[in-house]
Amino acid sequence: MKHTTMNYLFALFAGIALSMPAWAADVVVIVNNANANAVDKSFVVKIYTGETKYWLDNSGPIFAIDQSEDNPIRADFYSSVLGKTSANMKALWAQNIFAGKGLPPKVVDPDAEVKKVVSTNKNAIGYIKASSVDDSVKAIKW
Amino acid sequence: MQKIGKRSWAKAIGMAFLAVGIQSAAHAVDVEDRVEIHGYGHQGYLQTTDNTYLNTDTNGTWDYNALALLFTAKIDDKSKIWMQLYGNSEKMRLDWVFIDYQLTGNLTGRAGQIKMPLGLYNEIRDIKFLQLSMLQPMLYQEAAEIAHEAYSGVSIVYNRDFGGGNLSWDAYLGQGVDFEASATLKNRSLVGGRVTYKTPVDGLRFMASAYNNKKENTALAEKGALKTWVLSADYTNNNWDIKAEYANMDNDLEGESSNTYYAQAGYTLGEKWTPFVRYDYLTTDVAERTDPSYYQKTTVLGLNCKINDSIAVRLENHWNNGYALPVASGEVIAGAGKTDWNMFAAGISYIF
Repeated sequence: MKHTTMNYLFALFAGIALSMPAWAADVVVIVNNANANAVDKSFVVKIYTGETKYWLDNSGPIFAIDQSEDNPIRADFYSSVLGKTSANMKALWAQNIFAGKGLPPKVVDPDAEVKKVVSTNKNAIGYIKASSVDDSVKAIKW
Repeated sequence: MQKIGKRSWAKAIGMAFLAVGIQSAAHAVDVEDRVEIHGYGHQGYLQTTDNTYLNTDTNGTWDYNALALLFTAKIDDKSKIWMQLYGNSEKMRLDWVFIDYQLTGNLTGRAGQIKMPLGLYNEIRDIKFLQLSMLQPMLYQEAAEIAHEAYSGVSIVYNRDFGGGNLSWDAYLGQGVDFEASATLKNRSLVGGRVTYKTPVDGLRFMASAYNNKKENTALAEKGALKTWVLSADYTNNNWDIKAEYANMDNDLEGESSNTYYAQAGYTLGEKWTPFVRYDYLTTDVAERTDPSYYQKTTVLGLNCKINDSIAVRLENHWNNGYALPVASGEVIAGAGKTDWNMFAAGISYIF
């Protein structure tokens, strides 16, 4: 009996966890409402490390948005979504830049500005605090 | 007590002020969202116990410095222009300038003077901040003449997901560029490529690179080719930085072969301190590999400290057996050098 209750609880928690938007430590990845691409975590990593420059449906070049170094959400996003430290990301982009492979995401903040850019550019992707999400953008779930 | 000339001190102080000035900005410059300016540089101190190499000897030198500025201009969503100026206290040069065009989501084309994609480091070999050591592995040192720095021509870069990881190809065609032009050796044509596989294991990748550089000795009216291949592996995660490479070059013009390999490991403590160790071997002429004038075995022990995300300082010592690089650079005559010698290096490096 105990086992059955625990199984239900486990299933309930797992269901809640899986249905949550793509945030960890209150960070949510957002795209334009018209963006129909299936964006998973590994694709977000590829975007923010410069490995991928185009949307999967070839609808156009990805316009990635970062937040400023001073904003704590940036370190949260790097660690919880990308699995990297700020120093790792700085070194990685320095390699990309100086090898002529690509330029880092544009810096836009605060959250309201990120939402504004993402809501008006169908190729944009960014991240904001979970509490800042509204209908103007699509929060990614995975 | 070391004797250091007034001129050297002036240059060192000048470079240090330049570094501090640049760091006060500490950010890349973004002009009207279309043009970006980035840069890097270093100021080092080198000293040997014997032999002369990299313009230093037992008296030491501060003349180990560089500053580079990279300009990028976005033409449209698919194309950009890249240009890098590189200079030190002795010379200034146009490092590379090219245009790239995103042909498809996976395929990019380039044309111009481009850094050669070879091994792990070649495109970033001058950027000390991105390396653990002030002195790069012997494979990438100019005197070894194995890794060509740049070429003029065209290239394509293609990448796609493969086997849970990512596979990318660089293929290029053109003519080698020598920043130190030779009066008699002329570059004719060059073709090469590199395959990189980023494995599903985060931070683990393998590379294979090769090029064939046709040259002509105009004084002797002889033609030949430098055929080089490099195998590379590296693993970097948040704490570990492990690299190993093997390279071979056959020089038809000189009738010589050279090869080199190294293994290097560093471990970062507290996101700041990275002690590292490297074993490096080079022979500039395989037929003479028992002669210390043509081989060099180097063990490096060093400490890298990241002051912040843009500035790093380091201290390192190189224990050398053989003096192939001092001979290859023309600073020591074959047979006249000291077989066992050390080199000390210290410096500050930065990016922005």
